[in-house]
Amino acid sequence: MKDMINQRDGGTNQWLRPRRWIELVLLSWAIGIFYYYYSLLGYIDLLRDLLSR
Amino acid sequence: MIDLISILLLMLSAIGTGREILRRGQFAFTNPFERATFAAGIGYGSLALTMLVLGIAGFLLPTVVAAVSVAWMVAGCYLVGVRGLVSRFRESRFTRDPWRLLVVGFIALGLVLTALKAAAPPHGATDPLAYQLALPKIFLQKGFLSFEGTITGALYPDTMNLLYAVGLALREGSLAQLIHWSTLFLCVVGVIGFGERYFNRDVGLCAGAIFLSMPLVTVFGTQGYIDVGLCFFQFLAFWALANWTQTRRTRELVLTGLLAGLAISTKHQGLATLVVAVPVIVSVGLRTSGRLISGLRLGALFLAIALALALPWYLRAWFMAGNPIWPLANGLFGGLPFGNSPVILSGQMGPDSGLLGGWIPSAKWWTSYLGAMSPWSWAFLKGGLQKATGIHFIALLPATVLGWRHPRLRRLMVFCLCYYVIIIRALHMNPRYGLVLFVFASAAAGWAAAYFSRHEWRPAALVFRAVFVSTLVLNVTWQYSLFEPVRDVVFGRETPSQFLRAREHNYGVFEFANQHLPAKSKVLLQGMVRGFYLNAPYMWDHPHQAILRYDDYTTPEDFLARLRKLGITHIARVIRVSDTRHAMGFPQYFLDPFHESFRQKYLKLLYRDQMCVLFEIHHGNGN
Repeated sequence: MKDMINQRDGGTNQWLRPRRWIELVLLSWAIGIFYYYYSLLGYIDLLRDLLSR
Repeated sequence: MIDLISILLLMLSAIGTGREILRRGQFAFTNPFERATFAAGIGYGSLALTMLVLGIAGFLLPTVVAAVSVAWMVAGCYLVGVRGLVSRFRESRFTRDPWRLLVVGFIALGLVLTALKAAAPPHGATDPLAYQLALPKIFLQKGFLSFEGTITGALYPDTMNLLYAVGLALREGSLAQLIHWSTLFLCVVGVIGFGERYFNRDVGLCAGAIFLSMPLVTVFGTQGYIDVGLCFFQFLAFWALANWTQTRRTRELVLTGLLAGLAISTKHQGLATLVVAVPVIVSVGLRTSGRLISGLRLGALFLAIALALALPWYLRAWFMAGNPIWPLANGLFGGLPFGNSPVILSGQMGPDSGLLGGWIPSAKWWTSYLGAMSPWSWAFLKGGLQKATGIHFIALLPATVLGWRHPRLRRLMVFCLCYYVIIIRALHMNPRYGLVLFVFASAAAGWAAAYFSRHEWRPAALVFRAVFVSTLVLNVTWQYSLFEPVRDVVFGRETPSQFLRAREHNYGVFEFANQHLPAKSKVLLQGMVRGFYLNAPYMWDHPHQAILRYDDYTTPEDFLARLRKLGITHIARVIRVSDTRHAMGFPQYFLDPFHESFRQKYLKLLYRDQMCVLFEIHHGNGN
């Protein structure tokens, strides 16, 4: 089974590499901070207002 | 709409003339975006230099400027070869991929919305109506680069302002505003080309979308400021420098010098270009030949070209006010007196603070200015504020650590760090003065966006794409909300006069003055500096100027004599001076005993609305 996963991921299990976890952390940071910013500064409300007209 | 067509023709002409100049110089570019951006920069530079020559020769008159500009546009449009340009973009096939198509679509939508906003009559912001648009209008009235001693920035370098003179001579203030917007357009196109040259097309497209999403750029790029124009010339200068470090051909260094010269002659903050470029040139020259003298020679060549372009501006200030950078460093040069000494370096706390005479700041300095210099606090300012950089940098730049082994990305990040230090220490911690940092930071953030959007783990790529596109949707929504208030005037459902009367506090009084004041009238503006819409000659009574200081006169008769000597015939006054301006030193005229006494004796009311009044100076009444 492990061999099959490794084969599918290009020969090594990507999830065993720290880089994959760092990427996930950085991606989560980006998504979280985007949501925080756009909701805090009222962009989402602005879009809602525009769509509800 | 005529303005929008005019700006497209102006940009095409700039590309045409610039491309011909670059072709003669045998410059090589790697993609059509890069070629078009450099051509436009050189084309705009050639037009501004032509206007400079007209200004020095005393022929900067509306008819002459319009005739020269039209001739330049005809030649430029002929040279650009639109068919060739379109086929090259088609060959580049950048829209075949749906993801790229989506990003391109949002970039195009953002550019259209910002262009429509810029097509409204100039209003709202102080600086364009006080300096950047007001000065070229005065130059056109007088026919030369005159010195307006009461206007604070009267002797700053004016390359962008000369391009605005073209807009004012051909049409009105809205075309001048669109010229500024066109530099924003070219920065976006340029960063796509830069990304494509040094990374790949995805990086360029994401970078273009990120740069256009900056609230600071959206707000200021659509008004008659000059900061995005400065950013454009600086961006090209640094890009040419990067190209030179690869090719090491002298002609690329000459191009770098020319573009740096245009940046310096746009605004003093452009001098930061030299601070970065000279050490890079010297060190690359040293590394190439192994001899310091070769590096120094190359640095001197670059400096000579850049400063030669800026020299006319420094000489003008020196001849007119005795200080090449008047009114900055007036104590050093001993120039014409100026009421206030503007600060050059930001956040100085004196030589006792920190190390090396204050150059390395103390801990107290850092804690005092942490809020002002923090990219986090810059990101969370929105709308109208000159530090509002948007969130993409905070969200995406940390991810550039994933590309740290990529030498180009590493160099880009080092450049961004160096320029950030320059903004902190020398550019008043103000991102508006150092916008070029954010072009390159957009390229770095674009690298991170492209990395995630093409991530090998498909779910991560899809989630990121959805989130990134959502940010573009929200930014476009905000850009639309900025355009909405000017929609009627842009589409002709409201006249510019109606629009401006409702939005510009002094438009009513100036409209009256333009219609009723006799020829040879000269107006003193009291409590206001936005003089753009006044056609008669005028002067400010700003507390910083030294030509008319109220404290010097003890009686209304003394004051009257001074006004007569200055040729002042009328006074346009704000009825109630705002608390901020009053704190700055403007009198509260109608509550001030001296001004009230003068008004009762010598002023005759001609016009009054809710905000302003217009008086005629009645020279005989006091007797």
